[in-house]
Amino acid sequence: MTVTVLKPGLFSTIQDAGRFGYRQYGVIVSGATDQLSYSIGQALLQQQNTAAIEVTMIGPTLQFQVDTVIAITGANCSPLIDGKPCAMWRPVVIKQGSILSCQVISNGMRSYIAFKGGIQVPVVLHSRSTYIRAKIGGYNGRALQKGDILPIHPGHLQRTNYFVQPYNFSQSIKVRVMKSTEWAFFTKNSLQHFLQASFTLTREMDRMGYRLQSACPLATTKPLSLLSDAVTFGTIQVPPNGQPIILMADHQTTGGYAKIAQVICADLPLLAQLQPNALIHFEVVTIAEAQQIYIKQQHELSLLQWS
Amino acid sequence: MFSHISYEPFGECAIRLVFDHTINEKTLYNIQACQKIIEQYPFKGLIEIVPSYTSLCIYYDVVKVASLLPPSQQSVEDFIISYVENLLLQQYAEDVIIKRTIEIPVFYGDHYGPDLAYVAQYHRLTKEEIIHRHTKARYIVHMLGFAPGFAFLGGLDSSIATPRKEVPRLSIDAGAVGIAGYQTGVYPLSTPGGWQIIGRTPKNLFLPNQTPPSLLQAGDIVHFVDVSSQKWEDFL
Repeated sequence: MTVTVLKPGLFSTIQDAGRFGYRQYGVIVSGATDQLSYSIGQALLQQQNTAAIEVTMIGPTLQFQVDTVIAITGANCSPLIDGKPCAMWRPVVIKQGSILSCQVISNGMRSYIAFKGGIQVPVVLHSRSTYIRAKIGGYNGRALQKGDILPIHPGHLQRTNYFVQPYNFSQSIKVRVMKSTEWAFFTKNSLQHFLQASFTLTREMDRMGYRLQSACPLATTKPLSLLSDAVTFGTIQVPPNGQPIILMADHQTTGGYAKIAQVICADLPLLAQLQPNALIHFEVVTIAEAQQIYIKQQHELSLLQWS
Repeated sequence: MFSHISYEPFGECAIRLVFDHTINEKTLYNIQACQKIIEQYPFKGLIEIVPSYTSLCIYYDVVKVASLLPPSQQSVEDFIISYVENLLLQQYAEDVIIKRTIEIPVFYGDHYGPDLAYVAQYHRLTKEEIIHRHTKARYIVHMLGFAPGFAFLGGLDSSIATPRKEVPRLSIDAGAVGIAGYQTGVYPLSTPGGWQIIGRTPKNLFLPNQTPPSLLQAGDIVHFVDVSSQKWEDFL
């Protein structure tokens, strides 16, 4: 019972909710970059935290040797089944022998292909997420290649006649942040610039982090000598060149640059869908506000899970 | 012993416990003891704890913690702070610290340590003297990070501290033992890097199929042992 990769796409990796519990040993979290689209895909198939494919920019072509149900969410990758358009954001029944071909992503960066029951690659350190640098998790610890054979159980759903409204991913976004540890060490001008200017996402953007660019480098009032300390998904670090870096899903567990701000969890999925040259504005909220926004988002997700 | 902790929220789903502002062994053991106590008596919604040189970062599931918040508590952070403070008041930490000593066999010089000659020349010492000073020292693991199984070690003899290479190597072998400024350490994975490589260990530092998945843990005492006269194959 398998799915064969006929074309891998640009950079397709197997991901789940992430690898938790091992950051104290330097093992990164990994997991889907857009956790919201990923989780909606899971909810549409009435499951949680199974291994799905994260598609980047150009989608894969897959041949099914099994009857199952899939759900494709995230950015629009114009999927076709046996040459006919296939709806996203809803469960889709797939027959043995069918070919799913995803195209170039048009409105974002990442799509998610969820399979009923998930891809049965081995669990490593409590997760199936691919950790490429350590060569563990996912499919042999690497991105998918032509000819890979993914183990998938036959899948079935009682009902498949429901869907969720597709998300529109903008390339000019407002991102809500909280002040972080070194916020107060930045100059008044830098903080003003951080809150008023627009930051451009450069081409140096991958699952580890996004390098941003703006007209005025951010500076601290005096040079800081910081010890390596915990950092997390959404931490905005400012290296000596003054151009911020946002840490993404494959970020290292610790870092030593000044932390100016932290992106609220609920807005991380917006970042996950940005393309190079996208524009970002930052807006500060309180920790209590960030918690409320995230709890509301997760509540809506859980309603979908049980509906 | 936990009287000087300050609490700093780190985003909406983590909180940092800051113990000190300088690197020292007393702080390391306080951090370790505190981490062990919280892991032994976790609150519902605790995800994991990450120690660093002078702080602990506690990651939690904010949805879960908020749903279990007692009515008297104003915020998730206040709840976690009071939970941790109560726990630390009740616990004696002395008995939870176990100091392990780990020996790491190293093949120094030659193709295993291409920068040993440079490091010796830099300090106007012999290669043997560099090896002697590197193996004589007692190192302590302050924290792990940067790569899976990578330990930040304290204790390098400052007389062999050497600046990083001006041009980093594109690839350093897994197991490479290097010096960078006042730091020494072992690369667990093959990566690019600018450290001066003086040797290589055949031991695996990252052990993805074991629990914990790292040879070294915070608090461990580390000794490097010169095994250059032996055969690499004998260690595999």
